[in-house]
Amino acid sequence: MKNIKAILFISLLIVGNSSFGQLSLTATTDKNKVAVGEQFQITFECAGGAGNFTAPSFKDFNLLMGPNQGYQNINGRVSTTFTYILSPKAIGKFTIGQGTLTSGGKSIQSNSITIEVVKSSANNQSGGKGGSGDDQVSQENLFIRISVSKNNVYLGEGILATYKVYAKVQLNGGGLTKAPAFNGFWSQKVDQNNHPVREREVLDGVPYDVYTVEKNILYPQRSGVLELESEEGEFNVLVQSRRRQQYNQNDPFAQFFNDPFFGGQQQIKVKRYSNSIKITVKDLPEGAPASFKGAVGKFTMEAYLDKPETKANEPVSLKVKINGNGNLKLVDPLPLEFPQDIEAYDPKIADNTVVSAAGVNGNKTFEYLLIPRHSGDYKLPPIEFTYFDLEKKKYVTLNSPDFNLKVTKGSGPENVTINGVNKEDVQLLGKDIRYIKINEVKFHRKGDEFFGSFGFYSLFLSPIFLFIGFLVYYRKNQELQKNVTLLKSKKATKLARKRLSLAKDLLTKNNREQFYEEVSKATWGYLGDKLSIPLSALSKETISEVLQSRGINETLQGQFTELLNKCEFARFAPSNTSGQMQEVYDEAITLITKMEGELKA
Amino acid sequence: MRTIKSLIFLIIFAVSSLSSFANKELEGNVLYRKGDYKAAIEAYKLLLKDGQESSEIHYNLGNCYYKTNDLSNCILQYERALKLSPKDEDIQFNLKLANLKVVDKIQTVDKIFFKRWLETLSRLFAIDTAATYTILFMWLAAIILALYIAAGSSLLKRIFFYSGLTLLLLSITMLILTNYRNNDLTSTSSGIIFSPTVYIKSAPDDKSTDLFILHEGTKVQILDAVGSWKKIRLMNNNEGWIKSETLEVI
Repeated sequence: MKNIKAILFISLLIVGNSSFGQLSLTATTDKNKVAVGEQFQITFECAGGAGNFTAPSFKDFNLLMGPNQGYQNINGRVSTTFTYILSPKAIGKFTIGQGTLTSGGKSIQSNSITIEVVKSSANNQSGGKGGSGDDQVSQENLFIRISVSKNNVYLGEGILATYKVYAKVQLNGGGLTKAPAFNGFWSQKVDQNNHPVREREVLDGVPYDVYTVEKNILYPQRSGVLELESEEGEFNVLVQSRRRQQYNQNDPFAQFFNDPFFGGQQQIKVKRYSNSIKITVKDLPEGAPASFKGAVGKFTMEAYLDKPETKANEPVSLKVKINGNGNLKLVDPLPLEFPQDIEAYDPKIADNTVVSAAGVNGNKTFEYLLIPRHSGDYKLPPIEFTYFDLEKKKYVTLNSPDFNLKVTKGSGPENVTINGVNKEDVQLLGKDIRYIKINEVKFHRKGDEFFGSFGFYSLFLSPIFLFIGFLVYYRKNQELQKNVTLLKSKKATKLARKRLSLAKDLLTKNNREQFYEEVSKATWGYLGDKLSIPLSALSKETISEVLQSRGINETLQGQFTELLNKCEFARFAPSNTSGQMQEVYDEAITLITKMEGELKA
Repeated sequence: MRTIKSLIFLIIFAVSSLSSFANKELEGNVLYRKGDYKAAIEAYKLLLKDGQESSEIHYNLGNCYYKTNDLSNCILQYERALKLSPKDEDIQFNLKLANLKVVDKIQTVDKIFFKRWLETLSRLFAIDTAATYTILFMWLAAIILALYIAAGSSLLKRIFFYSGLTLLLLSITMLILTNYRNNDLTSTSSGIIFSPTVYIKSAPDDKSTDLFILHEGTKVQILDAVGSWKKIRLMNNNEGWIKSETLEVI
């Protein structure tokens, strides 16, 4: 506002001045030579009356502001001014055409102005033209400076970067045209007021007004040489607006107003470029432990369970609090491993950090919600957190103690998962157990089994021993029997001879009855013993049977039967003579001899 | 003589115990019906003092534990009951139901076929019945083989020989089955996990690696013991070490 007012006032003066003469239209500029990006002013002054003003085309320039219409009355000379603020588009010489003023059917043309646009440079900007308003905005009077706390840092080490505007001129707003990019850094703005506060600072013995426009904590994200790039700033600078020198050079009145004290203030835009800064980022030393995840600074760790005992399916929380100074914001939740029976959820992160010039301070809390699904005593693995200590220049690992979590049985059913239950199981799920057994309770003492007891073994083994005993007895008996018969058969002939010799005696005595009995006995005895037929079973049938089985020829069989019949018959028939007796005796001898030969064969 | 004495004693004891319990209802059963399972447990336990065993009481105890949600004890009792009466359907059913509540679902690996047969066959008879048969067959075999030796005629001899041999084979088979069953009964090679959750270690040492976790009620085979540690094998052939106090032998 102040600015417009000033222009208005000046314009009024000019208009006033011109009212004395005839109608005229004059175009003026504050600079004939401008740099790219620099702004300049074109003023059309109509003196001697009012009319319709038509501005020329500004096609080669950017119209930043205007037209600002103003009136000037200088010593009764009234003039109207139309002011435009322009900036060049490109380098070269450009002509601004004539403006036209139409008043009462008459139209007049202004002069045209040639503007030379040169390359932007600091020298140029400072304005070589002595006496112009620009010299107040020289490089020394207004500049942006980036400063950093450290130039040589470790990866992840914090740097404080400050962007300050040093000014000896009066600023009316402005700042960096865009926020710095901080390529390769993770940045955190240090809290500061929205409007930079003006401070006084003496630089090389020169006092400046200093405005801190940006203050950031930067954490390099990669190693190597990183650059804080030069930043562009644009400022509104209040300068004394002086009347054109070429006017009223000799007018003491004008000179009076030319005094800075009376001079109106004008706002101009000034662009500035800051310095750039290179920062060398060193890699962290080798040999980082596995638990190192990039934390750099100085930290402490606290980890605790909110309760050491819980029920199944009731949650507990494990809190891990990392406290300290460093790239805390970049500390990610620790990858913790929990027993498979404990359901763990992603941690809730509470960031309680303060960003200050000293870096990022405070704590970060990770709260892990754990739900044990089954009762039991669990051991949670200790938590390991490693950071790089910048003071000691080495890795430091913080360990929490083991956590013991006691989980008691919950009220609800423990097994809520029905994974892996097959169809058959599902059918059973809703069923109840079968009722207890009411009848026939049978007891027995442990180890009282019949099997394996002495009784069992004795009963089991006794038939085997008995069988063996029987076998031995049977064999022996059979052997004995065999011997007896063998003996008998051996003795049979002898016995028969004995009997027959007895019969011979009886024959000589002519004792017929006893003779036949003796012969009969001798024959029977002989056959019985020889053929191993027991006395009880002795009969003509058995004898013939045995003889047949032994393969004795039938004539001999018949002869024996005949002899035995003869003896029997003769015993009870008294008609027998001694001649017949002799015959029987001889026959018995021959038959026994024959039999002896047959059996041996 | 002593064996006969012990046999007689056994018979008298069995008869007397049978008659004394048959007369009035068991206290445990009454308590169970009332729903006082905890008291029923105490009552049943009293009956199992001094190494007494009874499939029925173990089964009833298992039911009580089931009702009081004591899974590991429940399964232990059912397993003990089933050990004594392997063919009992009620026990099999309730054990199956209880096993549904066990957290660890372990795929069982089948045994070798002849072991399975042997197991099935050995469970056909009660152990003492089988022992009696073993003895009976042995006696018959001995008698008939003696007759075979004494027999005169060849036909009789043949009949006696083959029947005697068959009886002898039967007796030996019964002996093998009885022995197998006896090993089954007296072995302490199975256990039930009692701790709600227990880490199975790679070695009998607290500091060794945790291999896996087991939960209460899971049945394991016990292979070995070192100090206060037991080596176990799961039905799926996984092996590891476990503290003795965390499991109970069936």
